[in-house]
Amino acid sequence: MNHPEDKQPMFQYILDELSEDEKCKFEERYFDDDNFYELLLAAEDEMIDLYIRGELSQHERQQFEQRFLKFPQNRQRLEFAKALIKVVEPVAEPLPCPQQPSLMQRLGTFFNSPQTALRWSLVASLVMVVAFTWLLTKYLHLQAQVAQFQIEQTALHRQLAEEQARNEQLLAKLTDQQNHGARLNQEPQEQRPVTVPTPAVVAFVLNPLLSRSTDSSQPLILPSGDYFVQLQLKLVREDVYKNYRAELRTIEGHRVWRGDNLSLKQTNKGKSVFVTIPSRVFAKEDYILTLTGLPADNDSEEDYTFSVIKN
Amino acid sequence: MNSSNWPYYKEWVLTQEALNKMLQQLDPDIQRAALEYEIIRSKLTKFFQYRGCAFPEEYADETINRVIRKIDAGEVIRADNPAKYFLGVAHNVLREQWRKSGREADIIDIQLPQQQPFVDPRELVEQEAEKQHQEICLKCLECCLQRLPRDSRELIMEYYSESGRVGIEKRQELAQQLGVQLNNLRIKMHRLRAKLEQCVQRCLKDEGKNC
Repeated sequence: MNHPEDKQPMFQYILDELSEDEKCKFEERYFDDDNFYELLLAAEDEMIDLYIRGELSQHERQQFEQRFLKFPQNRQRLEFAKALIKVVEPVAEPLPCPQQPSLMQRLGTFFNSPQTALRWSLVASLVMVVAFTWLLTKYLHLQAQVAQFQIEQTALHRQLAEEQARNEQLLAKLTDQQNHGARLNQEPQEQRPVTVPTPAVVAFVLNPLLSRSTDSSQPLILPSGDYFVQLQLKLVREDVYKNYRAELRTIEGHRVWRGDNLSLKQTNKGKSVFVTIPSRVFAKEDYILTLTGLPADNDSEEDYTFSVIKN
Repeated sequence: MNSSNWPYYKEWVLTQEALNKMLQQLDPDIQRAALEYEIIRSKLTKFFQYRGCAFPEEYADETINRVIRKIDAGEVIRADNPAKYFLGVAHNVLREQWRKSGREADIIDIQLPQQQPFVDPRELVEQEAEKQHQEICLKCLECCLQRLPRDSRELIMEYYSESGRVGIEKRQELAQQLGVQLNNLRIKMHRLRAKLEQCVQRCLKDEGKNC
């Protein structure tokens, strides 16, 4: 989206597109000049409107959501702006139709012309050409239909012959089976396994281990099949880290999976880290998942215990 | 985040006297000083927001507390604009927090509601409540628009009636008609809009009953 030049620095600041030096100068300016600060607030209003109307580029939209809309008071401004635009945008009025001459007027003009005779002959020729073209098209279409019917008829005859031959085969087979039927043992009926479509992702929420008691382990019921298990690891600590590492170990300490470069997400249930693990990693046993904030310090680990039950 | 995260000043407690000393340095007139204080706090919050801090208002309050402490200890703000002094302290607060967590920015990725993978049955009930809330919000907005003076109401309708290139041209025309610079018109519209938003928030508290 190309923004007017006078608003460029404002929008660039909002979208974090200024260098560190430019950012510092911009911030000094709005701390020093109340007018400039109000222009920044006005630019935020305008960016909100552009966002609502879908007039931001994909990149601008993402930046705006991450930098601006993540704060509740800004989301409140967004909701207000949506309502304002809804109320003030006018309904489009239909354009007035230009006056056109009536059919009678146009016919009158045509027949009153000095070159009427020539026009009549031209019209007649045109009508004949159109009629001939139509008739020719119709004839060719009918020819094609007849050819198609003939092909279909041949195919049907062939199909009938095949069906008759098959019927005779089946009849012979049935007779054989009836003859041997008395000598065969009744086999127990097998139940067909009911196939349940395998889900692509199965998701769970895990809370951190608050005590070492055995009943703090959370049960995870996993269906059979190949899919991904997505775990939402809720954090209760105040500290946040840029990156996280997750390690999944059995209760005996054997590491079965590890994930790196995980980032923190803010959901309406609080701060969480999401990990996605293939279902085949899990067996029917107890696990501890350790989440470590990076760079690590004494206080950066969180444990999550759970028991896997497989259907 | 609370004051225990800032290790050096656990013993200090904000008093009315200390606050008044700070306000005096902003402006001898207490009313103007209070207004100036609010503007500075708003700017500090905006600063920390755009610097990627998860809790910008807490950082803004910590900055203000530090300035008040310094003034209470006898320091005098010598900057030509007190707000710039606060900005200097804000930069220090930010750097300390970056050093503490060993990284450049305290950024939490936010997943907007449509990106969250879990469907909570309670959310269906909440969505219905949200829909009703939006209807009350629209009603309040219409009511608040009616309460505006006629020229302000017409200005808002004109200003927001078009979008895109046409909208930009319309706003330039409006500014010319009013005999003001376009930037001044933008500021005026921002103030009107903020006033409308406050009116709607008050109306929503009564659920639109006193509209």
